[in-house]
Amino acid sequence: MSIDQTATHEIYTRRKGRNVAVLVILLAFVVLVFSVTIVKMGNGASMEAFDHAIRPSILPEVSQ
Amino acid sequence: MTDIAMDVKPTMPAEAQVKDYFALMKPRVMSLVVLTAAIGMFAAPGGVHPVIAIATILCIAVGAGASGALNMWWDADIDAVMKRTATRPLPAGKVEPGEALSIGVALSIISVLLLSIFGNIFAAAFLAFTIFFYVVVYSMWLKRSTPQNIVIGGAAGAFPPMIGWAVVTGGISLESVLMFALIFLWTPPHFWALAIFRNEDYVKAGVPMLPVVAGDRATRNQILIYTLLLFPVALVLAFTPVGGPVYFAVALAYNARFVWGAWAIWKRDEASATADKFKTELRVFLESIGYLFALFIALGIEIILRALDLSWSGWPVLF
Repeated sequence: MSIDQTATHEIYTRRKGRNVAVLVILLAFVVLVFSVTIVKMGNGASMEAFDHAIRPSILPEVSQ
Repeated sequence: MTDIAMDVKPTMPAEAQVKDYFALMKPRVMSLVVLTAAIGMFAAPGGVHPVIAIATILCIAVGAGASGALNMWWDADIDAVMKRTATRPLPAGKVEPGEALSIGVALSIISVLLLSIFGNIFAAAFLAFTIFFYVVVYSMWLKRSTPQNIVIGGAAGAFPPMIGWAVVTGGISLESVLMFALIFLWTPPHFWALAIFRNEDYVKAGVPMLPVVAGDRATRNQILIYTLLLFPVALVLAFTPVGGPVYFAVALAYNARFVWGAWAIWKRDEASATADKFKTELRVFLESIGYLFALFIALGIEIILRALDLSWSGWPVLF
């Protein structure tokens, strides 16, 4: 008596579809975060936040 | 053991495919959310970088999808009873309830956090509130308890253009509130037209939709009242900085058609509707989908015309 091994094959095909989808989503996410970062830096947005210590670089500029 | 036993194939556990997860996010609702959020965003004064626009619209769409998944998780029991929703991934047994819940919660958190980074805190808080409103206020609380469920719950579907606007401006203004009001007042006649011819489904599921609780006549009256209320709101938007002659013409034509349809529904009664298998109600329901797309596309045309400096300078901006 042998178990029909082909019965398990279909599930791998379907899992492959899911894995490819996860890969595509992750790659798209990386591209998205990278693009937004470039645009925000290009616009001169501050990349620093408050870190419980006063740093001159995060203080607003005072006009003379 | 006989040969017969060997012919029995092992039953495979149902495993969801990518398209099932996609269906979990209510893609048709998402398409409307993307359109209205994008129009709200591009109509806002100040403008936004295309990359930021794509990123933030994606966040809003994912947030909408997440609330769709959470809605399907919560409503799986009634979805299974109703013909229209019986093929959804949960009642069809394609996606496990726990999976739908975790996808919904995870995507809600991710979309809100990313919108706060890509856009601003106000827009992100607005998206979080919208998800909360749709899932908790509408799905969990109102849907099964009051015939006003879709009137109040409709606010959740009406927020996206305000979120899009908030991404650019960081706040709220008359134009975005009017875009909200447009969808908010459109929702009841749209859903009640459906509820009239899907009445049996809602009775079976025990959902207190207006036709179930107040009856067919009251629903027909309410459809007409809401389309009449919608008419001036849709037209006022034409005389704000986001409107213009193209939008005005489209709004006038589509509202006239919507009121005409509502009037046709109002003139009929349950007997005549049953006789022709709810032909008018079905037609108005389908037309109402086109109505919202048409009005927001018209607003989109106005945005393009303004960007190309082709808009008519003599058009009165009254609000």
